[in-house]
Amino acid sequence: MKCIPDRFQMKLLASAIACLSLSHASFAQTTKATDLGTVRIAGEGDNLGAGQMIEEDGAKGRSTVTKAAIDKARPSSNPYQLLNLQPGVNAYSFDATGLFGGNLRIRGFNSDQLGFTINGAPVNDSGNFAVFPQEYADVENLCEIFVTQGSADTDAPHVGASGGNVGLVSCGPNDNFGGKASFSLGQLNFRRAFLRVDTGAIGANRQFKAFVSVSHAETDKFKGPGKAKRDHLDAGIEWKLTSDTAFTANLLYNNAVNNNYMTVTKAQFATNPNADFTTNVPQHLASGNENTTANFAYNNVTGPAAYYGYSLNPFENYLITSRLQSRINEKLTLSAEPYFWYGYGTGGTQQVTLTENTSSGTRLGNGIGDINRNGLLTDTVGVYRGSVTETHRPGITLKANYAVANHRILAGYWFEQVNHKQTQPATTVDNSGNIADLWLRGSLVTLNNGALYQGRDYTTKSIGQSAFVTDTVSLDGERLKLMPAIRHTTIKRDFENRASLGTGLGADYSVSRSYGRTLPSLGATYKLSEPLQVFGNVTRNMRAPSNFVLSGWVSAVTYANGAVASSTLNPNNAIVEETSTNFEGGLRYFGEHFNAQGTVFRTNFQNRIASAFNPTTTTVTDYNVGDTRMQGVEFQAGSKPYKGWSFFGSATYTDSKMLSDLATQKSGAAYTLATSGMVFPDTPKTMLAAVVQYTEGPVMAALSGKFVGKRYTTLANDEFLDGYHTFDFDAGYRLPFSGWMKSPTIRLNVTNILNKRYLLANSGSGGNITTTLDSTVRGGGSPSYYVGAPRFASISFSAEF
Amino acid sequence: MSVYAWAYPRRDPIAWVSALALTVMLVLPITQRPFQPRKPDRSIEAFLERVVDQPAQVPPSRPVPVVAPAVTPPLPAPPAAARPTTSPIVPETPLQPSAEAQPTIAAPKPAATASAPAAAPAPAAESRPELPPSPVPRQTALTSLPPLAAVPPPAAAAGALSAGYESQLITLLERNKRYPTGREARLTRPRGIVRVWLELSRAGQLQGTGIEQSSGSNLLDQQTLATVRGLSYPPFPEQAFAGMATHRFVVNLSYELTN
Repeated sequence: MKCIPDRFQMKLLASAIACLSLSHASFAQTTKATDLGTVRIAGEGDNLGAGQMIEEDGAKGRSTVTKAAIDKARPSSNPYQLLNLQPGVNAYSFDATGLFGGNLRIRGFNSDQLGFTINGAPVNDSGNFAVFPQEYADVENLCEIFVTQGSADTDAPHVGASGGNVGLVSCGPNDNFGGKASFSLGQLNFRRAFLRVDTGAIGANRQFKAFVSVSHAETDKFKGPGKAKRDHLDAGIEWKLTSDTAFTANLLYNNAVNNNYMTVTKAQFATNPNADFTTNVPQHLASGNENTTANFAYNNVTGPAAYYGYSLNPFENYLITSRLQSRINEKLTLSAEPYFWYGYGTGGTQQVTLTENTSSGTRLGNGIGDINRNGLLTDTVGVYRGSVTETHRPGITLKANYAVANHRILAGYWFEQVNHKQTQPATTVDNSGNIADLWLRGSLVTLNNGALYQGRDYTTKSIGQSAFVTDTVSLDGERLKLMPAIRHTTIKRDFENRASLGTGLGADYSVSRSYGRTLPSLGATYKLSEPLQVFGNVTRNMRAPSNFVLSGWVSAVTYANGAVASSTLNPNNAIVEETSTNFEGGLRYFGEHFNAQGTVFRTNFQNRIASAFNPTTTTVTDYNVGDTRMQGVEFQAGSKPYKGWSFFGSATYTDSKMLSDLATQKSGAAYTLATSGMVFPDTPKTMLAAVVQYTEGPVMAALSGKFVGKRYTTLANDEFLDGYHTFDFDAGYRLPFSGWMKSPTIRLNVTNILNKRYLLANSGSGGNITTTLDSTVRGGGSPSYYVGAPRFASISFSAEF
Repeated sequence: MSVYAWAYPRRDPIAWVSALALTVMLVLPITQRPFQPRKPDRSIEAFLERVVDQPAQVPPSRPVPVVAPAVTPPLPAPPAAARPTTSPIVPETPLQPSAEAQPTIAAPKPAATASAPAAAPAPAAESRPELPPSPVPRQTALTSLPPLAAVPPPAAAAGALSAGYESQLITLLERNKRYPTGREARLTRPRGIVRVWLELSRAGQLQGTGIEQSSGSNLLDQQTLATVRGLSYPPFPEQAFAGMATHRFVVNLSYELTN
């Protein structure tokens, strides 16, 4: 009888029991050490809160969604959808499949104020910290997602996390040779196929294993024409070099071309809840001005919308993460975790008109050349112009874990160097709606001197660094744990602008800015009794400003012979690091039948930066909205399965308040907008979430619901969205036949079963817009919203072999 | 057409009812079926991952298990004479697979206090002012134990008591075991088996602990030591581990993850 576990859990349990019995039987004969056998500790599973919870015991508010919960979701789900039931989390996706992406807020912090990692490597956009959840991973290969609400982890590689962090963790390769296939079909022509193959452990000492998986998914939009298409590849290796040294690596590749959903104002939604881009292809003229509503102009809300085929978000990215970890002795473990991120894509407002210029020295590059090749330089021509972003991002984290006496010390250093190139070229379109190169790599519009037309053209080289030490001190027989920690995090941005035709970008300039803070934290946990633990922490967080605060500084530029003759530089120094101090305290109960956790928090937020795309001015604007404080309560409870039933619930109450008025402009003059005492935008006071799950033998059924309260959508609190609730239903049935297939399973996923129609605040870390009352105030106007996805059902079949 | 016209305004209730009906259809037939033990087939693990914490949750049905021996001996005060009475109970306890017995053993603390008062009246209560978990205080153990050793109890009885104690230890570990939760653990997802030793005094005080065989992961080894150090152990039943002032136990903690 072997007393070591294998992967079959029931066998394992049986063998553990048998081992225990053996040890008991043999005890009478021995007076030496008594062997108690094997106690199994499972890192995750369906055994708590339907997989929506683990037995956290740290000093921070932290929630984890496990593989057990991830496996029940629609296979195309993005991480935001998977996190949505967690306390403090206000997440939405642009559609039910998750392929279009979405937005996430935690305690009022937007996704671009949260640090995102995959396998420990940062994936926020290096410039503006934006997050694109649909890119990252296939759920079949995702083992867990964790989130710290409010306090970023000290050892996490973030310069842009003022509100906590989120981590995605890939599953490694399996020990046994095999594979998995999964097929999904649903409404709106939703289709998805996934295939994964595992090598199993190979080599003389079974020291090497690897997997590779590919998937393709696509779906139509629920309103308006267009679709999402996504191809994804994941691969991983795990290589035990020695018994104490291991190397793991993962590759995640994604290629997606999505049509955008059109956002709508409340008025537009009231008129037509399905308002979206049009299928009418804008037509060229033989010559003349195409910037008319009959042709390419769309930019007024009462006129025809833009052509859907020119509102795209093509994006390609890959991420390689790796870890070389070596156990030096029983006290010291060292690791090096290099990573590389590459991303290339376009987006933004893409259907625009450009005006050709007769070769004139007083314009950059002598003006825009003959776009439509009609031999005239007098036309205004419709083109496809996208904001291209290309990022090369290598980095590494070095860590040392050292245990001595009652201290466990983790010290490390993170370094990354990002080359982030942002351009805005344009390419031609024909009368059938074809784009010469939708990736904007070729067939680009040029200036009269042969240079490329660019609406923006700049490169930001960023160096991010963080040095950190955390200590976990165990006192009073492990009852009390103190966790002092400190990190010094900096980012240096070298911004280089090359003269382009964009506003404020007309001359070359370079600027360098450094941001940084020393961020201490102190946490503690105390075991009051067997099932009760108190915890608390105070943590400082920091987020550097986006790189685009360094752009657009040029004014009064003049050109001679197509080159800059004179210009003025207007540095923008108003935006500084936003910092937050998060105070948290809570109580955890580890019961026989359920676990529960209650957390009280208060966050003091200084120099909070709010940014958003303003459809009226079609620019993204950052505001320093001064100081904010947020406080609230979060509660979560998860049951252990009882006769097949499991429950998880969470409740969130957030009270946010802006503490200062906003100094802004009105009609060009200084103006103070009364925001003091207002609630922060898109930060609902109340949220409730719950899932009830039943599993028995081959059947699983789960009903989950979420309520999100009223949300203000302007800084002045003069517009709001009503609360909404949605219910989702997930079911699975494991088919009773085997053969070469293992676990053949059919799943049904129904999202928004009540078919609620509701609006969702646009992304952006502050509010969309300052005020609706007065459009002459800078940033004033009517906010536009995403429309909540209607009911959507899909079925999936999966099997292992 | 008219059906649609009727149905459309009522789509919410219709959706509700169908969803509920679907749930009931899926769930009801199964609840009616007699419970059958799950087959030990890996597909269950892959599909539901629900057996994971089995030991802690299986049976709230076993009565008076391991704690019983600790309660019974005190009634007849003279240790030697009393011992035989324990033997009838004995067969029950050791035969139970301890994994099954665990849930019924209440929290370890209650167990300790249950046995302590029970033990207190037994010998003359001279040297036991208020240390609750110490039927035989450590210093006096040497002097008071020889008689026990001199008149050794029937091996089966003592063995049974010891086995009962062992399952209490297992229970304690089962209730307090935890996969490490910090960022480091969640990112590196270590797996492995830690073989840990712990030495307990008769009073249930931890005399020492250490790693006998590492899992290969310091994180798991340290978590294991922290778990062992953090527990409050019950005192030994009087007759268990007879003749020993301390006893050493070894246990494997197997940290697993389902991929």
